Amino acid sequence: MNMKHSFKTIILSLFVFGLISPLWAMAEDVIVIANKSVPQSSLDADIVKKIYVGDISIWPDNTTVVVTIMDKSDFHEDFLTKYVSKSKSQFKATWKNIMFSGKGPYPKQFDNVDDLIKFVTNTTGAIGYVNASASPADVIVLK
Amino acid sequence: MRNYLIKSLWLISLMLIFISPFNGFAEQNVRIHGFVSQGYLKSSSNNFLAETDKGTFQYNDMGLNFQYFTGDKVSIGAQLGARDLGDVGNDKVGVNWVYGDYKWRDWLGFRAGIMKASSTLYGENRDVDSLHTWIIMPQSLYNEQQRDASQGLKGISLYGNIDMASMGMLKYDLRMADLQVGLDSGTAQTIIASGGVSSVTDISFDTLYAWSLRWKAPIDGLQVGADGAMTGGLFQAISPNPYYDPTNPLFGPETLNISIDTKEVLSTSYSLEYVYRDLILTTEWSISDQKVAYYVTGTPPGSYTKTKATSYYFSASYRFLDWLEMGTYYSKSVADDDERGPDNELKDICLTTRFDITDNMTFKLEAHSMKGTYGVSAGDDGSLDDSWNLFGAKVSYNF
Repeated sequence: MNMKHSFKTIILSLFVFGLISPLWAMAEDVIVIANKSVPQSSLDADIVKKIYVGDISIWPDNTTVVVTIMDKSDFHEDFLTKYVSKSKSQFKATWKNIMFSGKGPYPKQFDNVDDLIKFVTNTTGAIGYVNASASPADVIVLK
Repeated sequence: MRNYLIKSLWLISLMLIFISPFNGFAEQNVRIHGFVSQGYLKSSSNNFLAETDKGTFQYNDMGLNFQYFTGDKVSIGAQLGARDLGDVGNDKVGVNWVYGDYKWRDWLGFRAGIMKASSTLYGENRDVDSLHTWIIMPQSLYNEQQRDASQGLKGISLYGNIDMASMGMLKYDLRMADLQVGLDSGTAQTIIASGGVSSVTDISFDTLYAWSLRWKAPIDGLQVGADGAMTGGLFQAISPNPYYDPTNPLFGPETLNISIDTKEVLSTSYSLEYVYRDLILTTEWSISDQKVAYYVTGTPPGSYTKTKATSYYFSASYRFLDWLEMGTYYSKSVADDDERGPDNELKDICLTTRFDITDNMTFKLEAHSMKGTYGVSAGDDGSLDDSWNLFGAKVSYNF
């Protein structure tokens, strides 16, 4: 009886884990990184959101924010959901509005995680996002 | 036409000369973007914006812009553009905007040059079709024929984004500018259509003072806006003399030089937008006050007629798939709040479908059920229909 109960519990646990694991994985899927010139204290989720909707373009230390994106990646949408609260089409429209009115450049686009990390590492004021498994070094990672 | 081309070539040359020393940074600091759209409009009766009664392809926009970002809060840029909308534009190339920008801090920046008006939620980039759900934006706030009056503002602007932390973000833009409106503009066409004159010979505007506020509230997706603009203008026109009698010189010449003086022109608008996931709900209201006097040039203006017009729209759009968005709006344009009748208003129920064929290409289909004839011309048979329909299709590309 106990064994039967344990078996049921294991199956149920696996089922529940199976259901929630994609969500858990999604939440951990993307991390925000920034160049080491960026003041650590100025990097929080609220600031990231304001940067990625074009409301903030200058860091507190007076350097220009250089925004990077990986809009072809499978974690782009996760990033937008988690940090920006915009759909892909809304995000694109927001930046094209900025771009076509001459108020700022469209974010620098990357197709490759290593290239983005390299750019953020070497560019003062740069900010980007990558999948958590990338384990970037020499950058600030938003905790 | 020649002047426009010369001006455009001059500007392109200037830009190339300017950016050439910085070719090493070209990929990072110099950006070139453009857009082009081609539409088709067909109405069941009447002519609206163009010769829609028989169907028209005279509905297109194109633009090419250059921007150089120094990386040190300074940028300069310009956009050359051309449009065609019936008698307006006729694809003449002109300067949409060219300005220098210095952003000292996020909360304080300065621009000087020729700019677009920043009023209303979607006014600044209404020429870029792919940025909107609609083919024809709600005419109550976005009068397509008078679009030239909201572009080409030559002057200065103070602007900024004030981060109010838990209270949201407040954006402001204060402008002082001269309007660059030509005799072949949609504004001149509107005067001809509504003022009983046969042609406009001169347009001069007073300096425009404008302000714009946007508050991104702490509630996610909620944005509130308020805008205002104050100016005045004097238009010289030629009008047929209604009393003309070739046999009696006492009734004067065949045509008269008419002055149309508008003063205390005050335009305010209020906006509310709420975005929840893929749903966008918007309403905008516009109130226009002005005093107008029509008089024979060289005589005293006499009395000014005061008018007030309140126009508004409600819209909803929803993106079902990455490539499919649908939307609807109800728009009411009013010529004068104190007047009644179908020629004083235009009510528009619109239903639109937008297909994003690629990241850069869109195709739209749209239907309008219209009531009223404000801003509408008679159809090819010479009659004006109070209840009519308009259909549109448009394809756009941007890069």
